[in-house]
Amino acid sequence: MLRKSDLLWLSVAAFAGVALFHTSYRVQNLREEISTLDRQIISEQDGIRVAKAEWGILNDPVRLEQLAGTYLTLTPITASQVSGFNALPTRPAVQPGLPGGPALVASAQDKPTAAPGVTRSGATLTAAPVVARGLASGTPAPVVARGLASGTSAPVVARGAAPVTPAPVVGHAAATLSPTLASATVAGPPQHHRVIRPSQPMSGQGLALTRVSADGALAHAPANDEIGKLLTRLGRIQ
Amino acid sequence: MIEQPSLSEDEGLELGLSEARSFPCRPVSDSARALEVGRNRLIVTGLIVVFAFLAVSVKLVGATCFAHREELRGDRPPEPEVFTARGDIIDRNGQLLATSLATASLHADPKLVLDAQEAAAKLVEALPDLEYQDVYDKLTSNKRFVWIKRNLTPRQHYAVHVLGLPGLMFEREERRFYPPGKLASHVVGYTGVDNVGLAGLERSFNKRLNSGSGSIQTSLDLRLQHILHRETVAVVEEFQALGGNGIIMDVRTGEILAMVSLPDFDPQEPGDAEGQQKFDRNALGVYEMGSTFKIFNSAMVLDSGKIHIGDKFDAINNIHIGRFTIHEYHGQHRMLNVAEIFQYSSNLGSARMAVQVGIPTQIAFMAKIGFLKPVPIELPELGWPLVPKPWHEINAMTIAFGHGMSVSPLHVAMGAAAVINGGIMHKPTLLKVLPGQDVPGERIISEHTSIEMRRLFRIVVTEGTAKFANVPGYMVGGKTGTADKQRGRHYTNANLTSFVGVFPINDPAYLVMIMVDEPKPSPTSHGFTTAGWVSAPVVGRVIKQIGPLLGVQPIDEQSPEIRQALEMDIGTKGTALAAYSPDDDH
Repeated sequence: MLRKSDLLWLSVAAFAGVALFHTSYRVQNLREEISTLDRQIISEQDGIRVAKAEWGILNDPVRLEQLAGTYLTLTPITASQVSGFNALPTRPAVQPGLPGGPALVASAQDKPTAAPGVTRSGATLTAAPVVARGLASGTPAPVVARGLASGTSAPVVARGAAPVTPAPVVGHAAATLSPTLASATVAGPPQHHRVIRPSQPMSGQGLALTRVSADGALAHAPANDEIGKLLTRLGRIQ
Repeated sequence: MIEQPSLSEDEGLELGLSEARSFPCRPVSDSARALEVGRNRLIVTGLIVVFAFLAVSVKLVGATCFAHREELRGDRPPEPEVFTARGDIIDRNGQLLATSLATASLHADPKLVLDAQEAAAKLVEALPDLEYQDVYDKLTSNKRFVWIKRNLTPRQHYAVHVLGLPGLMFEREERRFYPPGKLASHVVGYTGVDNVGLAGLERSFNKRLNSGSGSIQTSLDLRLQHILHRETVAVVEEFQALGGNGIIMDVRTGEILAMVSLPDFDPQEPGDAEGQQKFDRNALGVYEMGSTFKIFNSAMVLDSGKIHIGDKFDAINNIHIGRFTIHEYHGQHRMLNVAEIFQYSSNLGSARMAVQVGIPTQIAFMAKIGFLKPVPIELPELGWPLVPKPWHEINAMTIAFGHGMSVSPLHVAMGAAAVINGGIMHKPTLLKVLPGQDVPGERIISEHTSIEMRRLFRIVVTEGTAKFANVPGYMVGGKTGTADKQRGRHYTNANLTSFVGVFPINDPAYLVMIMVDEPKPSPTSHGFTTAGWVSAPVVGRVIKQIGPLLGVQPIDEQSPEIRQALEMDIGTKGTALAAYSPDDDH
C-alpha cells in the first residue's frame, strides 16, 4: 500500500537518478573534450617543435654563408669599416646662424629612435658608438641582426637585412656632447631612415658634424679629414 | 483479586509476576534480568549503528559539498600524458643546438600476430630497410613485446598503419635532432635511442633535460662556432694535419663562446664515428703544450716578486743536467731579460727563471691555476693532466717551457685568460652568464703582473713570433707554442703548434686559441710547421671575423693612450729584432 510519503520519496529517488545520469554523461563528454584538447595541444607542440627545428636548419650558418655568397655582393665587415665618433674631426669654426652642437644633441637625445638600424635589432646603445657600414656575406644578415639584439658589449650598428643592391649611401649621424650617448646609423634605402638635419644649410655633403668640447666651447679646426675618408669609403662599397 | 493490579501493570511486569508466581523465586528474577540485558544491548547496538550511519552521512555530505577542490582531484581520470619532451639545448642567442622531435616507433606482440609470414612480408614491403628473416623471427618469438623499428618517419608510420596488421602497435617516442649538425658535436654531445645523454652536455645535464624543466642555454655562439670551425677545418686541410682544435673564450666571465675539435662527427649518427672522431681534444686530450707554457712561467716568476721584468738571464750556455741537455732552438746568444725571454721564447732563460723561483713556488702556482686537476667545466669527458712525480729540478726546467707536463688545451685557455684579464681566475663555463650576473673568481696573480703580461703578449705579436696574428684595429696579443711530439721515449720532428691570442690586448675581452696537431709543410708557409706560420695566422683570421660580431670597437693603435698603455722598454730590442724571423718560436 503506497502512502503519500512513499510517493514523495520515490519521486525524489527517481529525480536523483536522472540527475546522476545526466551529470555522469556530462562528465563523460567533458572528459572526451579534455582528451581531444590534450591531443590537440600535443600535436600543436609537435608542430612548434618541428617548425623550430626547421628554423634552426634554415639558420644554419653554413647554409646562410652559402646563400649570402650566391646572392649577395656583400663581404664581411672589417675593422676598417667600423669607426667611432672619436675619430670624427672637429668642426672648423663657428658657422654663423647655426645654433651649433646643442641642436643636434637635443634631437639625438630626444629621439633615440632616429637610428632605425639600432631600433630594428633591438639593441640598446650603452657604450661608445660605432658606425658600421656593409654587411657580412660570410656572416649572413639575420644572424648579424640577432647578434646585435642579444649582444652584451659595445654595439656595432649594422643594418640587418641589406638590399642586394645597396642604395646610395647616406651617412647621417647624431653627435652629442657625451660620446657615450651618441648613436648613428649608415647605409640602406634612405626612405627607411629618419635623417637628422639641422635646420640651417650646411656645407659640403650636407653633413656637418660638430664635436663640442666638454665645457661647451667649440673645438679648434680639424687636423684631419676623417669624415671625408669615411664617406669615400662608404661610397666605394656601393 | 490480587492479580488484578499486577495485570494492569505493563506487560513485562505482568509477565514477570506471573512467572514469579509459576516458578520459584530465583529463576523468575533471572529471566527478567536476561530480558533487560537483551533490551539494553539492542538499544546500544542500535545507537552504534545510528551513529555510524550518521558519521558516514556527515562525511558524505562534507566530501561531496564542502571538501577542498584538491581532494576531489583523485576522482578525476589521470591527466592524459601531456608529452614532456627532453629539453632543448640552445646557444646564447637562442639558436637551437639540440631539440627533440616526436616520432612513432613500431613494436609487436607476437602472440597477437595471426600470420607471421604474411605480416613480415607486408612489413618488409612497407619498410624496405628491414630484413624479412629478421622480422619473421621477431614475429614468431615467444616474447610479448618486440621492437620492429624505432623512430619511423610520418610517411613510414602511415604506410604501416594502413596495412592494418593485428598485433602491431605504435609507440610515441622522441628523437634527438641537431640542427647545426656537426658544428658543435663535441660540446653538445649526443644521446642514445632511449633519450639518455651519452656524451657532452647531453650527458652532463641528462637529468635536468629529462626533468621537463625547459631548455638549457649554453654560452656558445653558433656564429662564432661556425667561423672557428671553418677556419680550423681550413688550416687542418692546408697543412694535412692529424687534427686541430680551437677555443674562443670570454676572459671576463670564463664563458666558452666556441669550441671546436677536429676530426668531428655527426651527432645524429654517433654510431658511424670512427677512430678519433669522438675524441674531444679541448677537454679530454692532454698534450705537452710547448712554449705557450711560458705564459704561466713568466706570470709566475713576475708575480713571485723575486724576479723583475728587466732582470737578465743567461741564454747563451746550454744547461746540462743529468744526462739531458737543454738548448735553444734559435738562440740570441746573449743575456736576455724577462721580456725578451718571452718575446724570443727562450728555453734557457725560462728554465733558469723557474729554477731561481724554486720548485715549491712552481708547484704551488700550477695548483693555483688548476693545472694539476681536470678543468672544472660542465663536460663529462675531462682529461687528467700528466704531472711529473717526483717533481725534480729537471722537471721544473722543462715545465718552464712546456715539456714534461701535459694539460688539456682548455687548461691553457683557462689559465691564460686568468693571467691576462687582470689576474682573476674564472671557472670556464658552457652555460650562458646573464648580463649583470655575478661571476665568482679567484685572484691568482696581481693586477700589476697581469698588465705586464699584456705588454709581453703584445710584443710577441708586434715584434715576436706571431706577426701573422696581427689584425689592424683589434690589438691582438698572444703567445705561440710549438711542441715536439713524443713517440715512446723520444721526441720526434712532428709538431704540435698552438697559438693563444687575446684581443683587444689593452683591455682584454676575448681569447682565441688554435692548436694544430702534426702540420706538414705547405708551400704557403715556406715549408715551416711552427706555430708562427701555422696557428697564429688562423687566429688572426678568426679574430678579424669575430671582432665585428662581438662588437669590439676597433682601436687606433697609434693613439697616445694605447701606446702608453702597452709600450715597454725591453732593452736591446732594436738590434736583435733585425735578425729575427717568425720561425724562431720554440
